[in-house]
Amino acid sequence: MRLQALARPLAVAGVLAVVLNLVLGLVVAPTAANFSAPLAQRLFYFHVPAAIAAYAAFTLTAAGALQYLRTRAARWDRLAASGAEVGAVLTTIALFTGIVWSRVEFFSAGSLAGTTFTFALLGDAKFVTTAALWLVFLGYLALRRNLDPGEARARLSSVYALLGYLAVPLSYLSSRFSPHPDFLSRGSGLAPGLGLLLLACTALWFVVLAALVTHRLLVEERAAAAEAAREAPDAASHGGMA
Amino acid sequence: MSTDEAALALGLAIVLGGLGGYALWLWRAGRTTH
Repeated sequence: MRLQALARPLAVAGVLAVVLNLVLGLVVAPTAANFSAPLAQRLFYFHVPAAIAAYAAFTLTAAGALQYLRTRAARWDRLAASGAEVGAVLTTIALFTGIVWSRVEFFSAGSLAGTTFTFALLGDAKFVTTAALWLVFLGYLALRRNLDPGEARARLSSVYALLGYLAVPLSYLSSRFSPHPDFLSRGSGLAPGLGLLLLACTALWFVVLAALVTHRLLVEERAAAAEAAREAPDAASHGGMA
Repeated sequence: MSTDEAALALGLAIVLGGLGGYALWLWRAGRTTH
């Protein structure tokens, strides 16, 4: 199958993308002297691309859910589930790298030293909406886990995913309403070279995203084929592998 | 190790641990459902 043929090259490309991201973020990127924590600032090259890749993963989920509701083809539901799980992993990375960076940039060494960290974090609309997005899709995964595979689960989780997707633009746009740094908007103050570097890192995370979603999709397809084989052993003996 | 260095190390551990752990889980899941 075509997906199977892509799996190995994408796995290799994904590993290379992570290594290259480490080189770009830790070696190529200049030290930003105007930060209280110039070393931890390098986490931007992982934190921002992880968040954008997570938005893309959830977009795959919404697209899969929409297509499932239109066509009732189970493969779209499997794409939706794969995107949600990979998106949840990437959002976890984005959230926690952000917490670590802001803790040291603003609270240990920076302008807010001595302020209560947890309280200030909850005042950041970007953090709150992204944590909500994370919980929404963890809820999606929990929902799927607690329902038997089949059309009812696919239909319910598709509707849930489409409603949950509203949290993506909310999270993306929330930096306009919070003190959260927004490096993607014009006039963010980011030097042009650094913007380009951030863009290159984001492209690398899309390679990682493609590798993870492909492999997750393969696991879903194999599980679906095994389930079909259990239900119809005769049909499976003629080869029903996805 | 300064706080700045420790934060960078912790952040990288989250990135590499998260991606590596999930990739390893996917690899194992791929083998068991094969």
